[in-house]
Amino acid sequence: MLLALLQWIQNTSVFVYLRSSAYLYPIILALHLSAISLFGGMIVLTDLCLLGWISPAGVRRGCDRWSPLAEAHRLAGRGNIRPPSILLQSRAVLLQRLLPHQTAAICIGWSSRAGIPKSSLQPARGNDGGWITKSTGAPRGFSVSSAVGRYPHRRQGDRICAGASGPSFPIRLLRDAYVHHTPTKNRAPFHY
Amino acid sequence: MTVENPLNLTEIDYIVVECFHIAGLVLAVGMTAIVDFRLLGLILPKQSPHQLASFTALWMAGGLVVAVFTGFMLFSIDPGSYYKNSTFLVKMACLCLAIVLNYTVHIKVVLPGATLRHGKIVACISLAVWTATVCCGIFIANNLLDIG
Repeated sequence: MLLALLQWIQNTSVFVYLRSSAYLYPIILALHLSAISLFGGMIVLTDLCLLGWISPAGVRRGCDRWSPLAEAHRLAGRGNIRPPSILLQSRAVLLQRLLPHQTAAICIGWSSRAGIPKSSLQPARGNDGGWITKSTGAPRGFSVSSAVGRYPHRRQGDRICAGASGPSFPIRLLRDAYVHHTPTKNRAPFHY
Repeated sequence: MTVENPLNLTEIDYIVVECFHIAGLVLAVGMTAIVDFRLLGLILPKQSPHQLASFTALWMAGGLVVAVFTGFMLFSIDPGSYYKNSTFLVKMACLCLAIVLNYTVHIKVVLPGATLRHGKIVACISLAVWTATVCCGIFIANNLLDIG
């Protein structure tokens, strides 16, 4: 049934001409690829925002350009600053306390940037999950829905907000290892 | 001693490199197109062109690097044939023009104080040149633009 339908479509005069034409087929193929290039970029932008790989916070602060060096600098925990990804910063802050060398924390923070699930798009609310500290709040004014025009069912002003279910598995593992293997008097207090 | 190009040995390598080439081109063109569409006032009115250009600059550059690098790899398979292909030469001209345009005029028109009309003109030119680059990439196989 389906095969017959497809064969009928294939044998239609228009598509026979299209198939046999030396010019029309490449032209349509070029238009197809151009459309993918032009509009695929918007989908890529949306997904990069969701992944936290694009820094709306940096742009909001008036930075001219998102730079990896500035990102690494922020991850190193210089003052009360807002990185593009809440999860990223919250992990980096924790890792700073766990690991003796800041560079290692930066590397691990960078490698964990992709772990922002779509479910992390939640309305902004109090960070009562015990995981996000005051300094790791959502980038002020950043709204995925307004930035990229996707998720119209979410109201404007919804911000990227990490899920309040606590740290992810590798972070929990590191934290537990630290808590269990460090004497109480030497243990740095956790503030998440 | 002759060294065989590894891309000539198996067909799958060529296809994989071509996929990366197209992906890099899509990333570069797509990111530029976002800024161009914003300059034309078609999308994302809440974001300024300067903000969008800041968003996409790194990704555009990354896509371009991938596309150019894999493009050289594809070119290395049969340089003589590509050199004689006038469509390929047109594509290279369009690509060079697009890159120069992107990193000279395009950067200036996205600045906050730039004129809106100039921005729209540059956006149209940029879109046209990038689209021509992609189209010529498709036409290389058939050499549709065989001027000679």
